[in-house]
Amino acid sequence: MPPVKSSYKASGSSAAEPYTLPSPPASSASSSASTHMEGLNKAAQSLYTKMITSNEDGHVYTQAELSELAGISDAMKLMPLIQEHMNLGLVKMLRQGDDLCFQAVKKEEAEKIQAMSKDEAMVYSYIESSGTEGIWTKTIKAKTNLHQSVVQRCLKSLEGKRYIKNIKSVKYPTRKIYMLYNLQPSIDVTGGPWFTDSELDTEFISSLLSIVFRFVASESFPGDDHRRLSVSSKPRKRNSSKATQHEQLSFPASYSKYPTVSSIHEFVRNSGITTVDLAPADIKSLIDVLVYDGKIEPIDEGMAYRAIPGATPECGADLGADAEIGGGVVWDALTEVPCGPCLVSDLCRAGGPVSAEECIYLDEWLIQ
Amino acid sequence: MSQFDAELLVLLVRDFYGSLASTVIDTLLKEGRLSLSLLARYSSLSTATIQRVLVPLLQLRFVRHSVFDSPTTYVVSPEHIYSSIVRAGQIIAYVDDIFSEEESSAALQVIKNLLLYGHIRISDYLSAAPNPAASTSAIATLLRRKLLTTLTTEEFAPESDRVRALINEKLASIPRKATVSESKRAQAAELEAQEAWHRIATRHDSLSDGFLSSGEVDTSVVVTVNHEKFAVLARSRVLVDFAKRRIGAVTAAVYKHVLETMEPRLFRSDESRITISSLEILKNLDEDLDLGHALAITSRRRKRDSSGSDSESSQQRPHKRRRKENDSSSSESESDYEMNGNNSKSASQMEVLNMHLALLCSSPSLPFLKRVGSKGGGEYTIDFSALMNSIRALEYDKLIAKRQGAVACRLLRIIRDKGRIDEKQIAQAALLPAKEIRAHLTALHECGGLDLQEVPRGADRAPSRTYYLWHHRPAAAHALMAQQVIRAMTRCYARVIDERARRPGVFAKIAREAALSAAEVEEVRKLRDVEEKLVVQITRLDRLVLVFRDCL
Ligand code: SF4
Repeated sequence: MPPVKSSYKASGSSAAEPYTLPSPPASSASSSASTHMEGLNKAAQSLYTKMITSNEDGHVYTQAELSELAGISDAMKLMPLIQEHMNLGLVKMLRQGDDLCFQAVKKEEAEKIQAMSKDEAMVYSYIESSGTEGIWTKTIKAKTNLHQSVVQRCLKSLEGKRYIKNIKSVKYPTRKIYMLYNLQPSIDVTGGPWFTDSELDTEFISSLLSIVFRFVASESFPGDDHRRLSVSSKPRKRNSSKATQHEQLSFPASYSKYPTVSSIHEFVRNSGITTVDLAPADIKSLIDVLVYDGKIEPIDEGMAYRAIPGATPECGADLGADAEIGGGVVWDALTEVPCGPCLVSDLCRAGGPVSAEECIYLDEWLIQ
Repeated sequence: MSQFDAELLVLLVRDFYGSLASTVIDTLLKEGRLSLSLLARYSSLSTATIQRVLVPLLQLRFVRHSVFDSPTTYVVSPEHIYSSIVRAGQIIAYVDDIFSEEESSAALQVIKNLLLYGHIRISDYLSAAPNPAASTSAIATLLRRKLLTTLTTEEFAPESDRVRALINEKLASIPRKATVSESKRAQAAELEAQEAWHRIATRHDSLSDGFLSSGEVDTSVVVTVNHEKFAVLARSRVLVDFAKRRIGAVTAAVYKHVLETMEPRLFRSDESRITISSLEILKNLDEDLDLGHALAITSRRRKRDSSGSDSESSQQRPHKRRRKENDSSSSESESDYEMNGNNSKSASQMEVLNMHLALLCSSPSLPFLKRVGSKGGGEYTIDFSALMNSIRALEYDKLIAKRQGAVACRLLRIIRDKGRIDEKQIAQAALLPAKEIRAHLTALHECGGLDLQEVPRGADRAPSRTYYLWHHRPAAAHALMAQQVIRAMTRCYARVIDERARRPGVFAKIAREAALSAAEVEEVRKLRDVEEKLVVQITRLDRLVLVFRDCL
């Protein structure tokens, strides 16, 4: 059963309330699908087949469409046919605005519903109409006007038969929400690819971040298929041995093969790292986080990205804080001295409860 | 002027000029502008003592005296005390750096004397100098490079007084008219005064300042250390350091040269735009600098070789997609270098230089350089205020990352990027669970990095119906950070003084030049170690002060 909701959503959700099914005849409660069809006359049977086959599943027919399909223009003649279907649960009546519309129900589906109690069928119909969003038990109770315990019993039995399932919503983690068993919850409910069981999957995210960073980094600095623009003819100075360890080799600014969102997307897709289907927008979110962490930077007005020298794939902010590229100065002078991050700094003054003269943090730091 | 600034200055003055001087400074910092009699009352010192102490302080221009008030009032010049004492070591090191070995001793002598006495009339200095000829040439060089500046009598008065005097003067010169409102008149006067002040503030900028028309040093002028220029030099060092880390040593060397080429025209750090061309840069560029060696080009030969083996190329392909728009131009330029690329002298020196300059222009997050035209092989400028803003933000983030962790830093950068934003959106952008970020936001709020704005949705201002928007105010946050740096500096300094005071005996002996026992030698060595560690730390903290407070 595909998501039903979307097909008639446009007319407003309240207008698309399912009609409460007429109570099934007692005799047909245990009948099979074939008996359904047998219960129909020829004209009704052919109309049903046409309704099922001539449009995609879940198509909503207006009365005019039906008359055309059946070749019966007289509404008075058409109605009994449809009534017959409805009695067997093969057609559902829906209200769209002021119009009545009809939807064919698959035979197996109809059979399923016919086998349910009246309450169950009603609860089921609401769950079905909620589509991939799911529906909150409280809403079911309010709409069906059934007693709490009755709703509970219905849900339990439907769940037991695997007609419906309980899902978790990211938006409302405390609510008990149900949807049809064979549907996939929508992104609103699951929260998108970053969520597993309605929890943000931080491990998944951080491993992706590190993979994306590694990829960008590998494309940001010259590798084996590049060479230096000029080969030094002069002998390197002796004392620069330390500098040569981090000798600069940069792409010129005109280099145009830095990774882009789409190339990163493609890389992630082809790498087989994850089976989760990530959209370009999801990749962009990852890239943004890497930019915020100071590991990569956007260039060319955000058309492409390159890694910042000295950044590491380890999680967390980088900003090249400790990177000593080319023997540069380490710059966190404030955090290095104990007074920078000191928590009792406010109390610290000459003659106070703590003071620079008697500070044990400074003592320790000075003998390091 | 915060409590911590004051604390540091008093400590510095006490260490260098004694406790009487520090008491006077302390009183003036606490009470503001004071006349001699009031100063005596608040400091509980006798007028005679104060007068004695004020002489060197005025000479050093640590204290300025107002010539417009009567009786004369005294005001502290905190920036001047700070740069004279904290940056003294750097100033000396820099001067040592730029002079050749023979010349440096005379130049160092001049600078040290100036740091000690505040200002000197050149003729007086020369009459006492051991080698007047060398000193004269050193002074000439220092003046020409603007490391020294001439000083006029007015400059012993507080700046604010001089500006106010100027405004009053202009106001008096604009006649009162019935048709012009008084506030209009004041406005006009202020505008005129501003212009006049700019002329006064920049009058030492002229290259002939301190020189006679014959080109010789005018020995009748009074000179002093030009702290503004030294701040410019210190800033250049910070910038080059950043370029080194963000791009590489060779490009940083080019950048250093660019800054040095601009330097004669940079008088103070708040002054902007100077445009120079590649031609100018190339003129004096160190020829030993191997520019091409630091740049990578696609090695066509290798590529052709490897393209034969299918497996490898198919492995590489998917990752190496080109962006369409730039494709043609880039391959063009590549082939340019390729053409000449067979010999080691590939592209012309100018072309390679421009490639390095382009690298300096290429990072939007750290715009080291900006290309503004194509005359003279390419015209470049540096937007110092934008660049320093980026550097300040980066430094701030780094400190936050170190103190509060990577997550806090990520959140801060998101908020800075997006402006006012609520918790949910922050969590979404950070790809972090909302409940995990709250503690970090609160911590950032506490340390002054973030502000919280409440936007009620209803008239009742119910908390449940209120948006809470986080935002970051850089100026306030950075000022706070500067305060913390100053505070840490103060503590380090207090400790240095204390370490010395703990060993009074040894110092007395050193002063008497008496022989030290082995234990005492060890003691001195230990003290020197500790001192050095703290002083190095203070110097490094000073760089942060430069970034967060001085080079705005
Ligand atoms: S001296 Fe000690 S107590 Fe005082 S601020 Fe520094 S670390 Fe903290």
